[in-house]
Amino acid sequence: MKLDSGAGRVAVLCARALVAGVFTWAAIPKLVDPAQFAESIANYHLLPTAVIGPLAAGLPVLELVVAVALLVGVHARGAALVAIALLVVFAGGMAQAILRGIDLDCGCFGAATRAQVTWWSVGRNAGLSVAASVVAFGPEVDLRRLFARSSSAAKT
Amino acid sequence: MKAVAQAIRVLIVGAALGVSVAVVRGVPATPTDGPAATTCSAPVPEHPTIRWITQEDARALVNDATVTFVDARPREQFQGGHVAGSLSVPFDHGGGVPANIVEMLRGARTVVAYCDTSSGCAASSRLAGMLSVAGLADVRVLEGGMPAWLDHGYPAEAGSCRLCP
Repeated sequence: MKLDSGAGRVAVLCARALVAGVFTWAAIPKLVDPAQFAESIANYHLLPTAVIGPLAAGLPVLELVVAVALLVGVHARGAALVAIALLVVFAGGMAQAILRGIDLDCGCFGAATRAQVTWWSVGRNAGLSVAASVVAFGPEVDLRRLFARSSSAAKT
Repeated sequence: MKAVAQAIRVLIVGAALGVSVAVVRGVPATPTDGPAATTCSAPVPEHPTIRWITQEDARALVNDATVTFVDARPREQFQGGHVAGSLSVPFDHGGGVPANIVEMLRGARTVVAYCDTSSGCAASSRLAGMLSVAGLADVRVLEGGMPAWLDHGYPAEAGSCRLCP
């Protein structure tokens, strides 16, 4: 399937919706309970203590900005690149925790969904990275232009 | 290159909004970190009523019928080796402890939760916190968890959970 074909554009739209949905789902519980998210970050034993609080406050906002950009289609490819970078960093954090034998909650979706870090969590991030890559390296899909085209086709 | 420029703009907007939110709402308190956490003896935040118990003190309680040990690790790890006579309560219940387990533990004078040592005792601390919130009066978290227990050569057994409901 060529990405600049009609089916390719649909794939890009689906990938945008998927990644945006997951990022929104991940961001909101963290925004609601940043203290819990800070605890989740601390449990990875990766970052200096001074960084954890600001990161817990700011990262969910970045996730939400990425989700909105993907949904609305403004700077969607750039947002997808940021999503890939975030997902790779998260997957790296999880992988090191598994390899070090650290038994912890993922913290991926805040306190709302508790799940232990497993290779499945890493694989899920890899899958989402592939979806984000479809957006980043696929054609730009302008929803307004797409709707305008389909409505004019319907009129004729 | 266009996508990279877009990514930089998204990052700038995200960072600016993130800083704004942090300024308005404040930065969350950072959980205690340091040597204590890696030795599985850090204080348990948010649940000050939970107390730690040393390996030696826990060993003295292992044959006490009024004390129940609960293993917060995944079931496979429990089956590979656990404190003799302990109950498997893997910390994967979507944020809650099954009611029948809580009821079972109400009969114990003391509950000792443990997991593994490298986690900062995340699973056992949270399990202990939930049990404490559920009304259990004396819930402890085992310092050093299962690895230290095995290192000491304290009573352990393998196989499935005999006491589980």
